[in-house]
Amino acid sequence: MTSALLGRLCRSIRGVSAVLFGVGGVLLWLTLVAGTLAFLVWNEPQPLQATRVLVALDPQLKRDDLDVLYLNMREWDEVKAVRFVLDAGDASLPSSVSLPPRTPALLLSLNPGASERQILERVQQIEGVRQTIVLGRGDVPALWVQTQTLKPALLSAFVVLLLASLLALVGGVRRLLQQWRGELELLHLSGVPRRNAASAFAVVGILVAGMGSVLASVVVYGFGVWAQSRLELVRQIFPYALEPERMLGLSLGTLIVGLLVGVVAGTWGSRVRD
Amino acid sequence: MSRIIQVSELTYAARDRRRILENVFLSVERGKAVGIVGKTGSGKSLLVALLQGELRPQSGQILVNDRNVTRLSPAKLGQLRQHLGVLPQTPVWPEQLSVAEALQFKLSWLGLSAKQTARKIEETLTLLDMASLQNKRFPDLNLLERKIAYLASSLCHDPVLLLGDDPFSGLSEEGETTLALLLKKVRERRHLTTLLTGRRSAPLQRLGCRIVNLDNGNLEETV
Repeated sequence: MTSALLGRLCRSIRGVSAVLFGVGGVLLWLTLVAGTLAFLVWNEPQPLQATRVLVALDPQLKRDDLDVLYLNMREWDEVKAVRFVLDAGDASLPSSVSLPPRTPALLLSLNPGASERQILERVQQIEGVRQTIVLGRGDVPALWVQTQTLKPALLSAFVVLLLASLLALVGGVRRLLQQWRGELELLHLSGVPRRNAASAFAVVGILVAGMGSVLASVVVYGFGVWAQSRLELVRQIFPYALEPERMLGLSLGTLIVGLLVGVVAGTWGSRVRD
Repeated sequence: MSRIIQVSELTYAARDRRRILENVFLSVERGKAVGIVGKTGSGKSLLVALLQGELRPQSGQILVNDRNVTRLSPAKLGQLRQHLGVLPQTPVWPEQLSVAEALQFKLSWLGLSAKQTARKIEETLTLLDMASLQNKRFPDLNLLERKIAYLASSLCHDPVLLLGDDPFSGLSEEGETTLALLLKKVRERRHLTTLLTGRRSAPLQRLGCRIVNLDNGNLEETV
């Protein structure tokens, strides 16, 4: 019976209840997106503070020579990490950087405070070095400042939007209940507890919240896929978006949180006295 | 003949301890009709609410269909109400459904099959001569039609007792007569025990009620 009523209830959503459910759904969607993004911004400043230097090498260099260079550079005090860039389309490189095909390269991550100029001079003295490119210089500190304010801003937005969406959804369920009070009164007078029918109203709240959270979940996962492309700014601000497992987890988390909001809003909104 | 309502030593006081009903005795036999007449504020609506178990008295016993409603749990009270038809004084009209849909809505919740539901709706609408109104929604009906539609909803599940709290309120004299004649017809066809309240005795007498006056918290039979 609840399912039959549910269909009627959904069709009767109009006017104020439609506005409240619509606003509630959109706010919940924004809540979940804001909450997810808060989990994706940098937690630690170190990775952004490190300037990286891409060292393109002569394609004729032998494998042994490359290994020696790699091991040598790892020992430099200014260098935090070194890794081979084997593919011109390496995901960790900005999209603006391109290497000729089959060009071996090393990517140096410098320690905070290391002098780029000294490193560049040192690298350029090495035989077999064709080109050096400094990555992330200049805009890194500014980005870090932005992300430092971004995270609390996103968390604040999450809390405010969460409450607003909850209230809008509760309002939508209450309004719908108000629209159906005559029918519920009929049931009450016939001995059917109002709360029996009210469970269908709670399900409407859960459904609306579910739709909002499914959309948010899809957007979160889609954002992760999009972040895999070479948009350096996005990758620098939301580096964890590059981790598929994390994005999948966040997508599922978004769905669960959204449904929980729906359950709370539905249960709260559909409370009736018998 | 067995009694379907047996009220004894019933006392109900308001929050300010003013006694609205005091030591009330009332009995209604199965198949009979009783009309309780009283002024506004005399406690007519209160008595109907007490009979339904909506309120609990300070003292006394209320037996309805052999159940003491003052002691029933909410679940048992719900079961009892499934055997009652109730016409409230100011019903909240269903807005989302047509008359037939409202009956279907109610009967489905009471657990009747689709076939039984359809049969009961047809029987009720035929009994009340309101087949032409079945597809109309409550907001599109006039007051008399709404009251008849509500009566249909109160009768469609074959109650053993019909309780009405001033069902004639707001109606013109012509409307009162129409509703009274319909109620009389229902009583005669279904042998339905009926207890109605009202401010005037005329419409209640028209449907053959035994009239009882409610005054100063006491019931008094009219000879």
